[in-house]
Amino acid sequence: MNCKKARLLSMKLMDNQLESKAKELLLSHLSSCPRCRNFYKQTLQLKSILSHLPSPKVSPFFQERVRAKIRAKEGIRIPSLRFRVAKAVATVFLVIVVITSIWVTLRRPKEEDFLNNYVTQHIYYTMQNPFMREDAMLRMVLISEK
Amino acid sequence: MKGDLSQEPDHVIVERIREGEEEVFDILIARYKDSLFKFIYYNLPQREEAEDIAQESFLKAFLALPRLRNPRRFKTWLFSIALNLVRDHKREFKRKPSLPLEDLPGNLEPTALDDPSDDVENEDLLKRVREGIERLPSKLREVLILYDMQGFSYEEIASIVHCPLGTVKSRLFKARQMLREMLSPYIEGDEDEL
Repeated sequence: MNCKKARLLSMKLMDNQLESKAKELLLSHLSSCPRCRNFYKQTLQLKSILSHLPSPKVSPFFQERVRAKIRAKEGIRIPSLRFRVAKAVATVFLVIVVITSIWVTLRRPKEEDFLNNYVTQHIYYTMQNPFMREDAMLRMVLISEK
Repeated sequence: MKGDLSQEPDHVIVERIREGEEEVFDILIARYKDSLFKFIYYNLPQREEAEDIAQESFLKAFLALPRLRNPRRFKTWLFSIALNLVRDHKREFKRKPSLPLEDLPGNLEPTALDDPSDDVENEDLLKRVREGIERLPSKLREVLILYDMQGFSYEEIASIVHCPLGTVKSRLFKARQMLREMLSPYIEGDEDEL
């Protein structure tokens, strides 16, 4: 194993991401190479220092300030999921109501249709009844003679 | 109500906010304000600006919450928003890479380095580490902070900084190597190096 490879694997070792076989090879290299051993120790120490660096705290009014900014922007806020769902349902309902009312209006029988139907039915029943049929035919003859 | 939710995972809280309980966003602020501020602070060590950006990050996250696809990844998403704001800020105000050490916050937590009796030495070392971090190129610094200081996984970092996994690993390697070289005289190694 050369030093370049050993240093790459050293990083993996300190992040616990090295397989056991590679780990053995690396440890063997580190035991015989002071430069790489130094590299490993220093990088390991650095990692420890980084994880312990001081954590600056936010100011005590941080949360209040965020809330105030949220309130100020509330007007342009994207509405919540519940509100958006309710809005979508209301829109669909409105569209259904409008389409249904248009359909009902178009399908309603007009007065002329009603009269035509009435005359047709009247003629039909008249022709079915023999007495009325004769009477009707006689009237038609008289009308035509006139 | 809020007390009940304080132990709940992020995605449960996010769903409650989306359903209209906006006040529970406070739980997420309380949960992440310090770690987010630390992340921004070490990327942009002007305290006032770092805090403004942290507030702005929460605001943007709140406003865009209905668009968050995977609520389980809220933390990663929040840090991604913060990183974009940090980058925007840096683009807007190109600054010299100088660290205002006098700007160190007064209420820092005590460090947990090995030996408490070495406080003075530790303090000096910490200053040098901070200077070293500040001198790193931005892209290397971002990855180093996210991995070694914030404990994110490679995958999460790839998602935050918008780059492939391999790039995250190589940036981390380079960052550690550069920082080690800068601080080599101040950190322990083997006596028998040469």
